[in-house]
Amino acid sequence: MNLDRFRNWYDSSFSLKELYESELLKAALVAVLFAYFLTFNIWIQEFRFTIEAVEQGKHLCWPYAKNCGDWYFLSGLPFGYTANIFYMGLFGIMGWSAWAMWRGQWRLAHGLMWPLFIWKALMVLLFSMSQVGNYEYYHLVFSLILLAFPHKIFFLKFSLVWFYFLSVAAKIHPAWTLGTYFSTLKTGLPVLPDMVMPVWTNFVIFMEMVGAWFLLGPKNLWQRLAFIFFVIFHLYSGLLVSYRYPATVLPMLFILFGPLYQQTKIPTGIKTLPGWLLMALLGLGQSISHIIPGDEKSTMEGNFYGLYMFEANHQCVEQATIYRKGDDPEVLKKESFQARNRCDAYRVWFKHQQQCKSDSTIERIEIQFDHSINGNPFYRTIDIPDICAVDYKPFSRNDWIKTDKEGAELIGYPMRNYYY
Amino acid sequence: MMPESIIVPSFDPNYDLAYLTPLQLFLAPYEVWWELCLWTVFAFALAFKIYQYLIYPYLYDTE
Repeated sequence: MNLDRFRNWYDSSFSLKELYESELLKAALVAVLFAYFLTFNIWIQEFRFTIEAVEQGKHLCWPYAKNCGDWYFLSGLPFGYTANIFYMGLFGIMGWSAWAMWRGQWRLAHGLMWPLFIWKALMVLLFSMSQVGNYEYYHLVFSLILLAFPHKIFFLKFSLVWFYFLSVAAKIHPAWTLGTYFSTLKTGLPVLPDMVMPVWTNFVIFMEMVGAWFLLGPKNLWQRLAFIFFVIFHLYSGLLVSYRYPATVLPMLFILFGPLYQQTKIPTGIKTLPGWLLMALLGLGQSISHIIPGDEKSTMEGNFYGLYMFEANHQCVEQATIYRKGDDPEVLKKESFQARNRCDAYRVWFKHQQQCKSDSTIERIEIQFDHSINGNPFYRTIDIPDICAVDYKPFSRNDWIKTDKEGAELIGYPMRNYYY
Repeated sequence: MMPESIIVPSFDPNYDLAYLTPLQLFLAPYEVWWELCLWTVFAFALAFKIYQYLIYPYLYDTE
């Protein structure tokens, strides 16, 4: 295959004609590249992605890929340089892609983004659960549409609105319907008066469920108002979540729905199939936590397969009693006062599984885990003699995690906590 | 910032437990019904959008 034929094949396979003809898509590609800089700037310093982390049992795998540590190959500081060399290699690719964009070489800029996307997708979805985040899902979806799908403009616009809509599925819970997430915080809601907290939280639910669809409509007052609302919403949410989330979403919001907005006709035909399948996959991921019986805000089962931002305010106390051969039991107690630390039973399970695997002197690890959500009482959701003897099922109910409705013992009451 | 223990064994107003606002206390008994309403709206919105984006364009293609 000569170079011209390869170029033609590449352009037609990934619908690059759309990119060449659209200033909007070029701007979107710049925004997506910017988000890769944000991502890898953190990952280059991330110890939990390294082989040393696996040796120390500090990595975290997805429940559907529990042996992900076997695939790690990078060594991080202070133990080695390969992780830094690898990420500086990605930095070079990002810089090269940015240079190509500046020179108007959009095919090259586009092609250079493939390794960035593939690495990030593998890390977020398969190799590690420790850096999972809603903004990563946004970024991966924007990337995939820009890189590979036909009808790029339409599906970029639709995916952003679809994300807003799906996020409501995580919010229909007292954390948001009553606003107890924020009333449990010592600091309450930022800036807005606490007295009418449910008004603010339900207004966000309304805008994400109904208002967001106006973003896709004709360019009229309603479309403008929806755009302004979401700009303010992201700036406001940045008061809690810092730069990363707004820096990933706001540029796309401006590019797709901002002052230069033009309505995009709904596409039809077989070429829409990849886009719609991706949207269906996102919907399926969001529904898993609802399909698994029990309150997923308490059990956290399936919580991370979809959007989960501010799904509940968590507090927990973990007591682990480690029984070793010929030794007195060792009692370790850990408390979490941070609202956004999810107190995920799976993380407790995974951490102790690594301990049991790496230390042959351990006979068993007894766990008592008390969990409170949204200022409700602490319930003993885990009380088992040996956490290493139980398995964790990724897509169904784990009966060793109890909820208050399944007889979990009420232990006490929480105080107001903090978000930090 | 972290207190000695984050669990208060029993209800004690000194521990600042009564932190729901009057509006939240008023709304709390209706919360389950409100959730049901929201899920209903969510389901209707989803069904309508499926029709608008996946069915209508094929039935009435304006090309």
